[in-house]
Amino acid sequence: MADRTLLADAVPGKVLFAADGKTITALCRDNAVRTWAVESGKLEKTKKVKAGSTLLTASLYAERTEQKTMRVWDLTAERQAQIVNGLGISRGTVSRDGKWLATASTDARNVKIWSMATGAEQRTMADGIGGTARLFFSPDGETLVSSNYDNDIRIWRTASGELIRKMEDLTGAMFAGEFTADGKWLVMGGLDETVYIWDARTFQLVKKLGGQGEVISALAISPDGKTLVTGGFDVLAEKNPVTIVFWDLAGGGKIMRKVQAPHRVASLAFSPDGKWVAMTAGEKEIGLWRL
Amino acid sequence: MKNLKPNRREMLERCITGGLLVGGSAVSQRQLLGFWEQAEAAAHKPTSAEVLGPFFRKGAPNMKTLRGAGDPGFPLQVVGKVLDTKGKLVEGATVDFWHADHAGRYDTKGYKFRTKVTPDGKGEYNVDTIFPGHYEDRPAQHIHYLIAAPGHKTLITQAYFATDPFFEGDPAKNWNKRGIAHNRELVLPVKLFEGPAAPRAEIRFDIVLEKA
Repeated sequence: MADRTLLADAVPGKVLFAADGKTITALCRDNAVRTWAVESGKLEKTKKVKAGSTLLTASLYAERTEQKTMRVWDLTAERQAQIVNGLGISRGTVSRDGKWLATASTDARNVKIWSMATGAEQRTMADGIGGTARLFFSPDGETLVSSNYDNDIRIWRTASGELIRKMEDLTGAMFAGEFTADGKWLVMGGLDETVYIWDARTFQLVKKLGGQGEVISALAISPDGKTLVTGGFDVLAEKNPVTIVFWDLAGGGKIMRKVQAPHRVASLAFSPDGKWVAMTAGEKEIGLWRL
Repeated sequence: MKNLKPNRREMLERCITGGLLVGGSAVSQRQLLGFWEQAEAAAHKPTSAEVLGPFFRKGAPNMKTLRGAGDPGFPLQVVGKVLDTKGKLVEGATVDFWHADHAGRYDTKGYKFRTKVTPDGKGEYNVDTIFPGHYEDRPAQHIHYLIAAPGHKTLITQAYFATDPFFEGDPAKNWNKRGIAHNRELVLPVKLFEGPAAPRAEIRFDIVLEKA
């Protein structure tokens, strides 16, 4: 059991804290974005969205139209923030400073970078052949990472679109990944049940952590970079209990704590003050774990 | 010097005028030529693509036999050729082939029921395995394929089974049930053979690659 639970009318997927830590937002399976007050646990807002929408940040979501256009909406201001046209957009992410939107297209096997201010296409880069599993920017927005189902990871410079690094020696797709907040480390995990830590300056592999015992479906890193939380996924069934592992990242990656989640972990997020970890795992609730 | 050998179309036209290709019903020569060409093109239509899925693992060993002696599951032989759109064997093709075990579980750490085969001198690939099991996320039995060859577009596809209970005995009607299989022609007929010890099944999946 989580330390606290926020109840939802539908199963929440991706979950994110607002920058001030006061609210938590999740995209739910009934195509509604819900926002709760963390302190009181009260549901504050329910916004119905189109099927197939993506939560980009705690205040931005993207909807896709039949014309393969991505429309970005600002939840707080309730206005359209930007619109971009691309082929078969499958993933979207926004840089922390709000300047860049990156999208991945499975049909065209490419990744595009757009200006959030103007909606203009900035760069197009070739991605792998299997579809993009995860797409995210570094904290300073200067680099963009894509992990592909074909097992390769590509890292580009945002401004130029130059491929800085291609990691081709992995033998399983990475489903989860993040940089530490200081931008020093790149942490990813996926099919082979292992956490990989790379130096984010050289992209040399620094450490591999075993011990999850399940495919890794989600991860989050505390804002101080000291704690890593990973969530599991049972390849046989969605309904089996899985494990959430708390790792001491600062102390070399020792396992600090293991707790159970009801089903496949869909999403994990740290609160900005680092005191809470939010988890969604196939139930109509958000579990909050206190650190 | 002009090549005097007639092209395919000229050859067909000669066959029509010479009475070697005759319409079964009242059709014009132009229509007859059109039908023939259309049917020939369809015979070598590039194999349709399907999704790669999350369980692909690079680096599978080249093994023809994936089925171990004590492995549960119904024995299955998978055979086929890798061709180009003109029906010629493709040189240097590799076929990544992977599926779940009888219970629907993928090997995420090793390479059980995973192989990367190269077709033999006759262009034929042949894998001895078992029927994949069903699993909750994608409840139609399927085998994943990733086929690469020099000078050709890499193809990602899947093979499904017409005998799968998921298709309720009517794959012509139910092939797209729950949006899992995207192409009717990838739901393949299953042949059943009497084996020395136990029956075994076979599917044939010929793959047609497009030029890059």
